Amino acid sequence: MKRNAPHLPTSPVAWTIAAFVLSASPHLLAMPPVLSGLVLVAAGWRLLAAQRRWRLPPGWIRILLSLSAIVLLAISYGGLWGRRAATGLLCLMLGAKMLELFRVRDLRMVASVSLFLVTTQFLFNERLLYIGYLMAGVLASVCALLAIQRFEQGNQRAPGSERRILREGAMMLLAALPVAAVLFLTFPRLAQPLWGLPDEVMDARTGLSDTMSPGSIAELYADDSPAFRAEFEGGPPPPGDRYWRGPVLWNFDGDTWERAFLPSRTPTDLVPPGSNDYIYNVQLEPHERRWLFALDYPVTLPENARISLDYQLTARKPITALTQYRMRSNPDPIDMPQLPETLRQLATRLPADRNPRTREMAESLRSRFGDDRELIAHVLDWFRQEPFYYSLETSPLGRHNADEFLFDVRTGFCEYYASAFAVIMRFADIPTRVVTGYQGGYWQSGGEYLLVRNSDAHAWVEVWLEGSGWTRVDPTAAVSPQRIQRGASSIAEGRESLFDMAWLRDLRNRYDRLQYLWNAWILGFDAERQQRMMRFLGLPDISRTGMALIMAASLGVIVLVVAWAWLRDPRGSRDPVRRAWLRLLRRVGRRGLAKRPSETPLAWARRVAPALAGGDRLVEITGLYNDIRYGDRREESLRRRFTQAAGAFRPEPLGSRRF
Amino acid sequence: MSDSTASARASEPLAEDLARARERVNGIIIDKREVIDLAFSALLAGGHLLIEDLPGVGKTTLAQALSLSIGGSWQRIQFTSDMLPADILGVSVFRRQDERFEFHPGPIFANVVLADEINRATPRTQSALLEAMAEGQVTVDGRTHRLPQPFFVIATQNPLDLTGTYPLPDSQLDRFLLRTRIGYPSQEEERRLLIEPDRRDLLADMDPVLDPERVIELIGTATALHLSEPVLDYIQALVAATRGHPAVRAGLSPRAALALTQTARAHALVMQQDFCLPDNVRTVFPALAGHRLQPVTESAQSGADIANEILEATPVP
Amino acid sequence: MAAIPGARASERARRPRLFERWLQRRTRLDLPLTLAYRQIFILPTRFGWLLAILMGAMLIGSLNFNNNLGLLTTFIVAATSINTMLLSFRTLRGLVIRRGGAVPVHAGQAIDYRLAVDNPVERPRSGLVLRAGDARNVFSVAPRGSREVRLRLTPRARGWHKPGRLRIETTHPLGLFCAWSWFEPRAPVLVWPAPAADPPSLPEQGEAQLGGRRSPREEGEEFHSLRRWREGDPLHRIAWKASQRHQTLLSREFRRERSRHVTLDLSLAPGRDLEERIRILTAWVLRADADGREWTLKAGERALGPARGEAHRHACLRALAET
Repeated sequence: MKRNAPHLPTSPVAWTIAAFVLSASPHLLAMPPVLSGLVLVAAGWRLLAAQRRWRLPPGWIRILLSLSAIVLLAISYGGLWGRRAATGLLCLMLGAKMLELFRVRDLRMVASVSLFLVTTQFLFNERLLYIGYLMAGVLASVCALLAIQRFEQGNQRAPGSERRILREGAMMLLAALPVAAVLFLTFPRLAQPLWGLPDEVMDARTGLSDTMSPGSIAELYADDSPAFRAEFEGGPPPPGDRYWRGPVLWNFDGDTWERAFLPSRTPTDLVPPGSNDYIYNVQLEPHERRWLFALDYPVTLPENARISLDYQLTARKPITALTQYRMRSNPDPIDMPQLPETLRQLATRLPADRNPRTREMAESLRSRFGDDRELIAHVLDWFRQEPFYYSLETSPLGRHNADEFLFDVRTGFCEYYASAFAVIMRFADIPTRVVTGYQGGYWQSGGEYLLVRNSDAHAWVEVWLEGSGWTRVDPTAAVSPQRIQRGASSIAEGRESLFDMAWLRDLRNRYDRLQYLWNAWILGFDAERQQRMMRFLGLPDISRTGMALIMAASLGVIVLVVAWAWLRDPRGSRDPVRRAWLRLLRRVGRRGLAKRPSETPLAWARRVAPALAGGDRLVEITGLYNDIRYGDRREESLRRRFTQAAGAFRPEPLGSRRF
Repeated sequence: MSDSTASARASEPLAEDLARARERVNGIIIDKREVIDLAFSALLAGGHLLIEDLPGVGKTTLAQALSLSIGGSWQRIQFTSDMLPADILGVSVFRRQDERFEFHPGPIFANVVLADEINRATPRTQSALLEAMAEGQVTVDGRTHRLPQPFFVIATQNPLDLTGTYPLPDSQLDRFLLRTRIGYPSQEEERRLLIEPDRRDLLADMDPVLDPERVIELIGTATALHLSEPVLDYIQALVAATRGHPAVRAGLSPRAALALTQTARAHALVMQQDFCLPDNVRTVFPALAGHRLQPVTESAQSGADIANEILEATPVP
Repeated sequence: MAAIPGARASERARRPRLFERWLQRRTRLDLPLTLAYRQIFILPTRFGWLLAILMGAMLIGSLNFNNNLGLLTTFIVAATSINTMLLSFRTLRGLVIRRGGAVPVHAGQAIDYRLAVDNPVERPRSGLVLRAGDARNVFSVAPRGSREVRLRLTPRARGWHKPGRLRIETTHPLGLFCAWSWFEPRAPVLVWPAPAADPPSLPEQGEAQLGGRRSPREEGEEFHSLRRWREGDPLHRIAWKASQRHQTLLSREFRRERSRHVTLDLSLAPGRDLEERIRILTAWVLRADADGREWTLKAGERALGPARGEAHRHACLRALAET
């Protein structure tokens, strides 16, 4: 292949570009439009060049274009070197390669790097839909390689050849699946990553943040994507108990609630198992933060997780891939029967110069009610009786946000209520903290799991009471009980009526069931699951080396099977007549009366007929075959007559027959 | 193969007549069905036949029986070394009385011509015959005379009789569509030949079954006989094999490939088939290719050996 | 018997002897040859290695991030590669190389080496490459088909040549693996000497010995005599003027001048060395044959002829090649 090699024909170039564009499509969507536009223009130009037989552009243009694209990339990503920038650079480089895609070697390079691009996309998103992307990307690349090879072999122009390439590519992909499946199941997995993941935002929307200000959760309400799924042993908890604890917030500066830095609990410091425990598996979608969600109060700790003093579970690393963990929660224990003084101070601190009206109200309540419980009951009653509304349509609040909300606006959602309620409590000198997390979830009766979406995000309050410790109080429930009973979607109905039709919801739930299985069996297949599978197969406690041996052995077996399937002599053609004929030949051939390749059918039949009982019949059948094959008789009846006769013919050597 | 299970074209009287003609000849030349079938195939493919064999094996009888069975005129030319082209083609005789030339047609003007011992004639005389065979016409003194239709030459050549003869040059052999041998009679047949009356007496009793018009019609039928893709593939593979054979100086030409196709069709018609089988191709191939394949000098194989080797090495599709 | 010079000679020298012997054992040399497991070698191509490196990167990355879809992609690509290895192997396995040979050529001309290849199974084989040194030919064989593959070899010296070790290979279907087989056809190829570019004219010394024999039956272009007209003589042969004179029809009789015999003797041929003399003699043989003359070739002990024609020419050229 010379530098200015002859023009490559359209077919391999088009296939290669298709493979590239298809594999790069999710990356291109995530890139700044200017850059993806550049890449697409380059690909389009190359395609036109193949059709119109344009020449290679001069070197300096290519270098200039590539350099300016890289500069643009650097500007767009602002020097943030992460996965997105890296894949973006890869796409740009391949785009630049389009301009000099004039050799077979370049085509092959682009086609195989497309495979790499497919893999990198899964660092960003692994949802069920992407299996289609995977297959399409790999198929296009394989087809491109087929087209390139065909060009190199010099047979390029055959009618309907593109469809044949597609069919061959699909065949290759299909044939690869058994070996791929065995590799997937038996390849030893790493329990620990070799190096860390860069901290960067994934495609998946982020979940709860570690701070809360009124309005911050509202973004999540619009997000219907699953946050996690929980599979319970023995039925789900009642809706009132479905409070999934996330970040616990102690510090309030008047605008934002933030976490406090509390010591972790040691594993011995956890609550003891009880009689009403919930045992469940959580399948957590990646959300790029470290929260793990659990019901109150975790009895066990997942691997690589910590639990803080306020029962907040955190993983050691951000959750960037689907994570599964098994939990046991005991709802009964009392959280902190004694409140240490430092914590009491932390839980009652408020900025003094904010919300004077609320302070006034809290102080008057404090003077009316000596008992904390009565005070709380009164405030909740007040929420219920006064015209408070639960709504996602809110207006921004100012400096005295609790005042404005409680006395003027009186319309908001959980954060507003939780924040305002906590402010009242703290002014009344009751230790209070805000808990964010998820509440509720959709019970998938078909899949037997609880689906919690991001729109189920919630915020509630915990107050410390003498004798019952930290106690959950949900002011939102006072205003809008159905929010707690029936979930966030009951509130959002008015807002999303256009898309929230029953059948659509049903379809979505069905899809989620598939997604759940997908997560459980494909994405969640890790070292632990692999061990479990081996245990199920009766091979407990397999070491890494053992696993490697098992892989080698099963790979050997499956490759042998595949090799046998590939290498065995073809079982004839698609034509049933031809197939029946070849089968007949084999059957008679086994009697040592094989047809020589150079023998005509009739000559063979006449030769072997005397040696067989019913040899005349063989000659007759061969005559039928001749009629069809050489006489081009196409009547279905004749063909059927032949296949039946040929199938029924049993070659018995003369004399072996019993009379 | 006459009892081929390939559906026979029983209802057509033309085919029946052909079958009867074939049977007549078979009745006279015992035990030589294959040669007779080849002879009929050459006739129906519109070609000519060269029989290379020793004297006395029945070449003349065969030619005569064939010509009698298909009707029409027949001529036998015994070639000798002093024969001139005019002795075959005919002459323009100057007639004194009306002061002009009159064409006297030679013995070649017949439907079936038996050119006996063609290798005894000089190359010049031979080529006069061969040219006439190729062109179907005779040009004498600038005047062209068409030969009768059908026109079929059966030439014989004695391969052992070499002294004072002019064997047909290789380059001229392909004027003959087929070349075959008759071979010695089998023991049984020889016995019958000894007991029964002279074959030539049987010929005297023979009456024609066909006539020239019907033979022409049959030739047309052969041209249109169905030949399927696999058979075409087979023919192509055979031809390709001759071209790839290292012992061959030049493989079969496209014209020879066409001739093979046509002869296979004719053979299928002779065999009473509706369509052409690979068997037909196989049967005619050695006769068609044997004399066309010229072995390189280093080769010990004859053309016929190579043809048979190719047949054995080429799979039937 | 020399091998046709090419890349192989130097290649062979480089390879250790032990490997060579192992190769000999695994390479069945003579034809016909059915390619079987033992004769087929397979290795990744350069592109195959590149993809392997890429797959390694994909594997490490996916494994590290515990990214199962990435792993799945990697495994599908790996499985496809394994399949293509099997398919490359399958493309060669069972292929029958029936025989090889070539029509003799003169030294310096390209040998059109022809190889008959059969595909005995109901499955097409494509992307096969036959090669020897730099010469290569890409071909495919239809299901149950057979074909002839040509390879242009360029011998430099006259004589009998072995075509040497030929290689049949394929990178079908994706170009990831190259499967190949070696074989050495036994049948040698004859290379005639190259004819001298500007040879002296034929030595006419043989005329006196053998020339002059004429045959009265030969007719040619040269006018010979008049004779009485006979039936069958064409009109244009009638000598009208002479006929008028003699009051009877007379025909002109023509005769071809019998070409003079020539003796070509290697020891008497001009030339500085043996090779040049052989080249001149070769040119003479070709000239004599082109002129339709009868000639005798004397090369050392051997004497061929007198005869004429193609067969004689071949015999003479062969004798000259072997000298």
